Amino acid sequence: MNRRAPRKTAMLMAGVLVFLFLLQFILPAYHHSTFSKIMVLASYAVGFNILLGYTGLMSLGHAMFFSTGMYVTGICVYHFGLTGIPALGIGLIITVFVSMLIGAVALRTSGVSFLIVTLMFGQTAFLSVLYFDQFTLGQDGFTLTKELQPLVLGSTSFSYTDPNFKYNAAWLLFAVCLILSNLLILSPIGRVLIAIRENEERTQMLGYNTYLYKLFALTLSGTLSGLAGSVHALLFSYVGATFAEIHHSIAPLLWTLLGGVGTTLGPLVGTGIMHYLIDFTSGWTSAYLLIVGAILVLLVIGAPQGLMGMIRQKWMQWLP
Amino acid sequence: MDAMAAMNPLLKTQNLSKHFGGLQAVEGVNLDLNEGEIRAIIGPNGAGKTTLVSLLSGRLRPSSGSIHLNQKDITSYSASRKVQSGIVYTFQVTSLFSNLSCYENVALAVQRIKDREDGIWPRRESDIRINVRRILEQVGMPENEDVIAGNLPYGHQRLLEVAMGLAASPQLLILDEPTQGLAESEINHFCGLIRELSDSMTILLIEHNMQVVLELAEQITVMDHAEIRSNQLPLRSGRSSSPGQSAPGTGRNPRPPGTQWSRQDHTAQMPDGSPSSGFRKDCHE
Repeated sequence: MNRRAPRKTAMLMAGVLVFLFLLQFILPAYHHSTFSKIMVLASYAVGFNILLGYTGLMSLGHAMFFSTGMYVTGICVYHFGLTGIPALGIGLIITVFVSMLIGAVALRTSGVSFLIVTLMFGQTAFLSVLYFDQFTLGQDGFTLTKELQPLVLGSTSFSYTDPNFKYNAAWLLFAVCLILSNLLILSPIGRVLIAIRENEERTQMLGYNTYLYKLFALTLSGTLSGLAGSVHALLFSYVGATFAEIHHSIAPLLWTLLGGVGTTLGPLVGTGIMHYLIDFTSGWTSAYLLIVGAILVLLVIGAPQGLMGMIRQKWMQWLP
Repeated sequence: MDAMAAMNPLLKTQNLSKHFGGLQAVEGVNLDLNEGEIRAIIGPNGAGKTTLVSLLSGRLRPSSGSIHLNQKDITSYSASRKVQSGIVYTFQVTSLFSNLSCYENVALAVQRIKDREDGIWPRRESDIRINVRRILEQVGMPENEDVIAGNLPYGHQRLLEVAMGLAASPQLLILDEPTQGLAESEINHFCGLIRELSDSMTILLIEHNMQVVLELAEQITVMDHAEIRSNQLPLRSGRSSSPGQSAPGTGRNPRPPGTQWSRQDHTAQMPDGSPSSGFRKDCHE
């Protein structure tokens, strides 16, 4: 982003959201449900991108935040019989605290050490999931299909299993994450975060307490990731240890790199492309990861800034 | 400068020292800076000049000694708090946000000041913009707003560095070898700018270019081997010697030929007890 353009940005983001909303009326059933999933996971990647793309901190433990939201919400429903919204709220509050706490410790390091520390925290979270198996049901996890009551709004009730409800709930989550991230980046706080990414010492020498800004970024990033985890648990009725594993920490990194690090639309683009790439190739051969890997290598060579990054560089320099 | 200002210096260091392991980089420095003055620190490479200003600006923590700004002890302040209290450092090796536009670079410096005045809510972008434009205008590069800082010619990068220092509205602006690598015409422009700025702030200048030092400084502090050797009044040079000529390693005797006093009124600020150097004797002949 070489020049701030709040008005153009608002129009573009509104356009993207309206497009995604209208898409549900024309998509066939299969792609309809795929898009619900993509929008939830893209919200996770938006959270990840706030830290990596705009603050310059690479975390390898984000699955911890995602699974904190997922497990807290899931356990609230499964063990304590709460309905969706209170379970989501509790999940949100707990993730805010967890992110802040982990951030306060992990941000005492930077660079590679930060990577390792977050990786360790992530692994600790994963092992905790396995260890406390009377709540988490270990590796297998649990489903919420029986326990989850429909969402009642006024006189109408929505079932979490209804595809239309899923799509619109996922859309709402993504809209919140996308709007928040754009507001953040166009705000003076976002300017400081970008400055930290570019040159932290200089930012300090301009009089900013960079630790507090980084803590804020990590907390927001973790919270959005956790929120995506909570919504994922409710919409897809499954809570399992795979979502706490290391590869689920790496996934948002790949999606973000592919779509464009440090672009607000990059996470959506990257998540979507990756999802369909795996979808197509896995239907075709069992060695699909080989093909996905090759395509990713080509993309990285051709567009090292990711797709949206390339678009920004070539055509839309104002893109946040 | 009157006697009052001399009694209550803007910045005062007492016995300020810094060592790196066994290496004594700064040793027992007592430095007084008066409000509104332009002070130059000169000395050979490795004399401890940059370490000294790094201590002042908070980039390094002193091993011992104290720093007072407006009689307030700021020794233990972090770098960002020192900037907030008014000591702004511009880097010797240009340190810009080289992937961001000039506008963004200056806006970063501007918006912190605005943040504070307005409490927790950030100031409006329109206010930031007015100030960024004013400052870019002041340093003479208003047309470069949208240029990526890293793509600027070197001289302009130095100016941008100063612009960022200005935007932080300092009480004390520390310039670490600001003219290094500049062309002659750029140096002249730079000197004009610094003189203009000295009306509203105190300036501490580390400089190897004696022409610049003599042109700007109201007092010269000579450092060598981690210590302050003397405080001198500058000898204004005639127009004979060429500007832009560098005089490295001339710490002990920074006297260009054909010099003479121009500011007698500064004699009162000479540190008492300091041995009269040959430099000073010459002046009174």
